[in-house]
Parts: sequence; structure tokens; C-alpha cells
Amino acid sequence: MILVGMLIISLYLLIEVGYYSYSTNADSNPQDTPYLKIPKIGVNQSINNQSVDHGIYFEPQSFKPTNGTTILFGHRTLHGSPFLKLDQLKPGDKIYVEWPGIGNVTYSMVNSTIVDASYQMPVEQGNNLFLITCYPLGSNAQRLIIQAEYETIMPINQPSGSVENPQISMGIMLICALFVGGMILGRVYPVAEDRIWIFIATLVLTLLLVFAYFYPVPTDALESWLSQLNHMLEF
Amino acid sequence: MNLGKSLMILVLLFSILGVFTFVNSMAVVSAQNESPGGTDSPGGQTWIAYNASNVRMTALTATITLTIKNNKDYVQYFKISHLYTGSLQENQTIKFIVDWTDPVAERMIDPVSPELGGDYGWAIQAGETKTVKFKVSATGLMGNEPSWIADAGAVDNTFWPIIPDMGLQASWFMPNEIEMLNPNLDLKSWCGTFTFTATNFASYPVAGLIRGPIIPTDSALTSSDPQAFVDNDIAFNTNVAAWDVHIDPQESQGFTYTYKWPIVANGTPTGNGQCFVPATAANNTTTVPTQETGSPYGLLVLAVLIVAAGLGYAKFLR
Repeated sequence: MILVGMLIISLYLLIEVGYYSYSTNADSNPQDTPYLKIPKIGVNQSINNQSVDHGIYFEPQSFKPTNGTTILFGHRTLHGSPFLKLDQLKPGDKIYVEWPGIGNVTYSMVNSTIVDASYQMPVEQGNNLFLITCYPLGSNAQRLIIQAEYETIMPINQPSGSVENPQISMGIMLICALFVGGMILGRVYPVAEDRIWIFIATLVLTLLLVFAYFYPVPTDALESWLSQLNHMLEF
Repeated sequence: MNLGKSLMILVLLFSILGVFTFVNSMAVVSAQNESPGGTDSPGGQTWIAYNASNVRMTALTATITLTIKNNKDYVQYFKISHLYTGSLQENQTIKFIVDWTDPVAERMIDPVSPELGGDYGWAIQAGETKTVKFKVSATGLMGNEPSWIADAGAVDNTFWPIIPDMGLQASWFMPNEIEMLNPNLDLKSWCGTFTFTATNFASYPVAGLIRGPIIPTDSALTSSDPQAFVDNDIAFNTNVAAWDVHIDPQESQGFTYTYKWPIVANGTPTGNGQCFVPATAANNTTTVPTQETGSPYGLLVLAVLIVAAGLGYAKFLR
């Protein structure tokens, strides 16, 4: 039973380790990377155009800042949880998008709304910024949409990308946490003859995460499977 | 490990989770069963019946913006209701007339209230998500005839020496009731701004609490003028706009309040008072699906519980 629990925990950790491994590599060329900054909720992260699983994702059918409606997606749980605290934004809070070739664009939060997951987001809504994440926390049944109005644009003086990625060691920390946690569990497990299996499982799962850290693989299928399992159990 | 005992622990674990789920479900069902427009108070307060209120309301209007989706594969219609059966004094009904609509509404073939100008509504095509806005004004009671919302459950006074003065009552309704009336329609968002005028008809100054006469449930108060406070003792999941007023004889005061449904993420009011509704996903507008941006972590919690239960089982039962 404990081994099943450990396996499930390590699958969640696998998703996170894969994300942190990617984000460490993605920020290697910060001069060309756009950034989203929301001081109120501590967001200062690069924007990518590959996948929402890699952090903050720019919807390719929307427009770059000042050219039309900009739509950014971000995870609320796992994948670094960049939009974990998005619901804490209040009208008037400033949101900055630093986009190489365009400038440092300031938006002001005006409103928030919640829609079903099936909602189709129109991409022609003026010079507005929309930040979209899942709602409620720990569920993907609905979407939280934050609308922000364009305010000003300034030249980029000091690209944010020059700041060292604060998440660079998170992947390694998660691997260490699994290893240490597994070892402690094996140590305190009261049945001596079963401890060896917990130690072996800890070692195997740790090696799996180490492999995923150095050779990140897409975790879409794994996440989809976990989501389906959650829905089956009605979580 | 002993498979039988392991299964027993798992069954016990799921039983506990099942009980929690059942209790939560019952709470939700109980909340849903509360009748809209009713006056049951969850705050444990006793309302004392009184004679005619000194302060009465007129010029009641509602400007409503809503986005609704037709989930069916053929056209559906929805229309504006003229009648509000809140707990008006003497069980009267508030009758509304339609001032304007945007986009232009059509006259329906089956009017419920032909005496109030006929019914106006909109077609919503298969799969279409439509945003409409309209304004209605009360006619008769609460229009040009002063009235107020009474508490149907108020009791005769048998208390002494002091009793609470609860002020004017509110009534409430469910913005998404349309989904129950026609399950093919899915209300995406709702925002309404209400205005009314309160007048002191006594020959002396009066003080007390007045509340918004019509309040949507499960909605956030996003703005008010004058600044209202939220009374959440009136009905379950209802944030009633209330004002502490001092009104001189024959003096009138205007009030405005705006609600948005559903309640925003953290349950606190947001917005600038304007009714922002996600733009309509019309057929000629480019739209994008919203990404999967969250992974349910109920399974993760279960995994932690499984590890803890396994540890406990090995220590105490094995």
C-alpha cells in the first residue's frame, strides 16, 4: 500500500521536475525572451510560445502587446504554478509585460470572471491583456480570467532575463526531498523485513526523477492520466 | 503484507472520504433547496412584524448584462420576465416594463405579460454563446407607487424590554435559475446594476437599516453608491447590500448597487462597478479554447493518506 502511495507521489514530482528542468534551459537566452511581472503576487517569469506546461504560455492566435488582445495562460497547480495567486489580484493592480522589440508594457487589472472549461476565448478584444488559469484551486473544471487594460509603454532599460532564475535548484530539491522522505519512511517503518522494499522503491523512483531532470520528456500523457484518475475518484 | 487487512484499511479510508463527500453534498443540496425570493434567515435573527414602513422605495430599475450559451444542436429562445414575486408588502408583485435592449430583442409569440408591453426575447443558435444587455423599470409598486420588501416570517412582538430593529428586508433570486428552467441554456455570467429611491414619508426624521430590495444569490457586490456594507445574515450565500441611513421628513435619497455572478475567485468583491462580461463568441469571431492549466491534486492527497495509513497499519495492527 505504501509503495502505491509513493508511486503516485513520485508521478506528481515527475511532472514538477520535468517543468523545472525545462525552465532552467529555457532561460538560457534571456535577451530574446518576453517576461511577465506581477509584483502584487510575486510573478516574474518568462513567457514561452511552446506549451503551457513550460510556464507562462502566449496564445499564438492572440496578439503581441499593443498590437491587439494578448492572452497568456499559466498553471495554477504544478508546472511551477505561476498563476497560483492570480485570484488575489484586485482592480488597479499593475501587470507588466516586457516584450523584446516592443517595450515594457504596463497594464492595470480591471476585472475578473470565471467561466467553464469549455469557454471559447475571443481574441479580438482591443488592447487588453487576459491572464487565464484554472479554477478552483486543484481543479480544472473552470477557468479564471483576469482582464487588464493597456496603460503605458516604456523602453526596456534592463531586461528581466538578466536576473538569475530563482527556480534553478527547485528540481534538484524535489528529487532530494523524495529521496530523503523515502529513506526516513524506510527507517521508521516498523516491519523490518519490509523495509528493504521501501528502500529499493525510493532508490528506483529517485533515479527515475534524476533521469527526468537530465532528459526531460513531455508529461502531457501522464497528466492526462492523473486527471482522468482524479475525475474517476470524483476529486 | 496481509492483503485482506490492507484492503480493509483502504475500504475504511474510502468510507471516511465518502462520508465527507456525502456531508458536503447535503450542504450543497440544502443550500439549493432554499426558495428564491424567500426570507429564511440563516443568521438566527428574529424579525419583528411592524406596521407600514416610514421609508419606502420608488423608481426601481435594473440594468442587466448576461452571457448565455445554447448547448443544444438547434435554436433556443430566452426572454425578459416582467414579474418579480419577491416578498413585497402584502404579497404584491413587482411589475417591470422593458426600457431598452441591446441587441434589439424580438417580440415573442407567447407573451406572459401582454399588459406590460408584451414579451421581448432573443434567439440563440445551436452552440452559440450570446451576450445581451437590457434595462427594466418597475411600474406601479416600487415604480411610482412607494413600497418596501417585508419579511414574511416576521413574528408578532411578545418581547420586552428591548427588541431588535432589523430595518427593511431584502429579497433574492438565483441568476442561473434559467439553467433549471431550460437545461439547454448555460448561463456563463451575469451582472446587474439596480437603482432605487428611498423616501421618508413620516413627519419626523428616521434612522435604521435599508437593504437592496432585489439581490442575486451567489453573487458579489462589486460597487454601490452610497457605499453599502454587506449583510450576509439574510440568506445563505447571499451578500445583501445594506445602508445605515438617517433621513429627514419627506427627504429622498438615491441608491445604486451592482452585483456580478458568479462570485470571483477569492469571494471578495472585484471590478469597477461596470458589468464586464467575456465577449460573445460569435460565429465570425476568432476564439481559442482555454488551456488545461491545473492538475487536480486530490489523488496526491490520497497518496499521502495511503502512505500514512500504511505506516499506521504496520505499527498498530500488524
